[in-house]
Amino acid sequence: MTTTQPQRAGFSVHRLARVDNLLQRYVEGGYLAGAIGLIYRKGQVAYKNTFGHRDLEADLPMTEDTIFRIYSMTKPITSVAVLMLFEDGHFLLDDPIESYLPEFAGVQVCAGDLANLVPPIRPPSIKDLLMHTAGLSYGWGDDSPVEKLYGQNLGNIELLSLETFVRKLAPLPLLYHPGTRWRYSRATDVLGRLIEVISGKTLAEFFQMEIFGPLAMTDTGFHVPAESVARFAACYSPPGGFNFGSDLANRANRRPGHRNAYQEPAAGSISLYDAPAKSRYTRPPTFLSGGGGLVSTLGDYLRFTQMLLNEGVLDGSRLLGPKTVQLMRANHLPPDLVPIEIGDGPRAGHGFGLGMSALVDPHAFGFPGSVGIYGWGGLATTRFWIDPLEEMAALLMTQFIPSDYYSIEREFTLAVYQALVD
Amino acid sequence: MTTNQTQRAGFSVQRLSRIDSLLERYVTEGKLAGVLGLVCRNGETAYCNAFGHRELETGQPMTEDTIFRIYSMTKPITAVAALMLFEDGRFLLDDPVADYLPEFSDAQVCVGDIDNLVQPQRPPSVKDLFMHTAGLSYGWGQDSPVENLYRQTFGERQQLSLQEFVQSLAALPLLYHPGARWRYSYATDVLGRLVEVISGKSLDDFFRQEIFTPLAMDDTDFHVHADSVDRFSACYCPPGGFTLGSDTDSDDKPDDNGSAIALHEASRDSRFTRPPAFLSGGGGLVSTLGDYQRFCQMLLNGGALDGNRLLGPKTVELMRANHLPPSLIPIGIGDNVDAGYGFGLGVSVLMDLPATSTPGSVGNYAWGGAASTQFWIDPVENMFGIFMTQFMPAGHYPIAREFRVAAYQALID
Repeated sequence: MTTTQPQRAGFSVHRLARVDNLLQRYVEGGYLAGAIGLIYRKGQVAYKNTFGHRDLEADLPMTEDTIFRIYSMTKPITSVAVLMLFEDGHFLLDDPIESYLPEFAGVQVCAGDLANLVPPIRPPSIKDLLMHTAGLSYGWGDDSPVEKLYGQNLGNIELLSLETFVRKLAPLPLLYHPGTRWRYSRATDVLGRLIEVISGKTLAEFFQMEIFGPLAMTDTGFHVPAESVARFAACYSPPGGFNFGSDLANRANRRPGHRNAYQEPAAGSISLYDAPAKSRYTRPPTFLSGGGGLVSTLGDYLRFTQMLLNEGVLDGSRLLGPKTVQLMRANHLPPDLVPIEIGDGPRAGHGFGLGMSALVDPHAFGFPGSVGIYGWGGLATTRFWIDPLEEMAALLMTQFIPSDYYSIEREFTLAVYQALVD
Repeated sequence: MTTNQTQRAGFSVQRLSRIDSLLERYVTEGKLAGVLGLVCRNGETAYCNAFGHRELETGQPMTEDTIFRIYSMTKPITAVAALMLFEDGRFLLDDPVADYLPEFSDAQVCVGDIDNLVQPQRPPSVKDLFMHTAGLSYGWGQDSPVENLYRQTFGERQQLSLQEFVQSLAALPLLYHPGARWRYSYATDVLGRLVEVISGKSLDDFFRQEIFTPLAMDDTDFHVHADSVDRFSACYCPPGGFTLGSDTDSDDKPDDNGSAIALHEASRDSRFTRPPAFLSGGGGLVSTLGDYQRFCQMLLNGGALDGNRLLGPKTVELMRANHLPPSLIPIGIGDNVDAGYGFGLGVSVLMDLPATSTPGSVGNYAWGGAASTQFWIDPVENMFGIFMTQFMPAGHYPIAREFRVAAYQALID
């Protein structure tokens, strides 16, 4: 167990093998079809490896250029887009949403009883949208009568334009007074509409012209173009599939046992959730979801991550100023709203910045790491984080829904940090 | 929107043009007659530009040498003057004000009932005057019966000498026990009187001899000199006028003539064209961008400029540190809360960056004036910014914050 070793970007090459072991265990045990991990530090890729298959049924191997559904990892991109418009002087973060999306004028709060709505103590602001403190939700829960209204009013969200979506969402009562809670929500989709209204472009156009083009994120978009479908991964789920409302609370945190000491059934078993060829992602969507609509690759998202790690610039293309990135990655939640919680699960030690979590208490988190780590993940178990203190970033990509079914994201965090020796 | 760029003092020249766009917009839309913006870093001017007019009625353009009513941006100057005397060993910050201004010896506190005044838990100190924690006020509020006494007593404040003013003020009850609250107030005017009493000079003499001359702030004084009146700006306000201390809502409805602003005070008719009876250390000065730039640079340098040292670096550090206990943060004036800000010796201090919702640095210290002028100094980035216009009341437009956003988004190295 004692390790002496050559180093790469301050990582013990010997200890980095533990990242291999981890990802391999998940793939060989049948828990995941395939996975990719990457560690970037001080201008170098310290670790990168692929395992298993991007499509078991078609027997296609996982490759570096595989295209993934990144779901909520869309949110940091939308947040950067919003901050670019903020820097360009279009609004202040504390401005009420209704100043730009008048649909939100007169919004009311449901403090328990749908028949007795009250005016909000202050109007929800753009910053509330970036922080999920506006009073919105996803409609997955059952702790407020408003949750049901989400499903009823929005219907099949895939059929809505962003404009229609906001028109249907805005009349719903807020679940709480703005700023008094943190609740994961459709807020980032509303931000997507805000970008459209302010920039005069569709969200897809804005992303392409202002972010994907300048950062050369050539495989990132709201759908997989026909010529790239062959590189698109299949998405898997637990046997029996996955249902948003009921299964989010049923988080299992399963993991393959270490070496031969399997704690779970000897092997994992997974079901196909979304085959690449038939996926809705093969067609341009009606609903341009800034909250979860993008597909991307490891390389593309690495470039986005590098841009943030460099405080707003990559290869001469500056998207944001360093002071704005510093503001973005700071925890903005008051102590009583830390840690953030999604569904049943608190993210111990984590606060929230402008579109991403911000680690305020590594001890509470219970994993090695640094104060100030920021990042986010997607529903299909993709995750990135940036550690400004150690000048590093890490990315984990796979396609398995839901993301907290396994504990692989936290195990990956541990494997990365235990390998950092200098 | 992606920007590639050449740099000046670590600022992207291309991104700095967003400051132009911001300031130009206010002028073009008729919200402000004229504006002047400055950003300095590492001893260099990264940005300086003028827009619009200093006086619409006479057609005079805004220029770099325009003279402005800086109102409460007088306060940091008065604070520096008092700290110079502190460094000279004339008093300690915790000394009771009454040791030097005996009219405060019998100060009593009104805790709600004007007929039942109580003894202060401790006498107000000189430091309380720097920090607006002495128990004084401005008489703008409605939340204490003492506010009314202020309004009654100081209706004709401009006609009082500083000595008379302080005597009248000292006779009024305190609004709270010293140190128990932060409340924006006439405290800095009292500090001005303290400078007079301790130095044996009038406040204008002290300012001139000890601060304006050493720093070559040639256009800064309590009045605009006759040969400079043509450089003096007019001051504007919303079409319906305004009341100090009342809620300012940003209702920019044009008046009957279609204008978003009205003339509040022409340059020629201004009381600032004559030496005042009341030498207000809280708000009496006129100055220029260049003069205030020199004052800011002195502070950023740790107390010295071009070989003239006003304060030692350790005193400037003490001045720009937050002195308020957590329970008194953030500061606020009326209903306007300065989220994220504490207070030092005469300046606000940025404590909680996320709470400000604006890019910046913890430790920024700053203040502004009633006619929408502002400055801030950022010791972390070794920079400062100054924004000048003449529009009352401050806070009617969010331009001070927008100017900071525009300045910071341009900082890239």
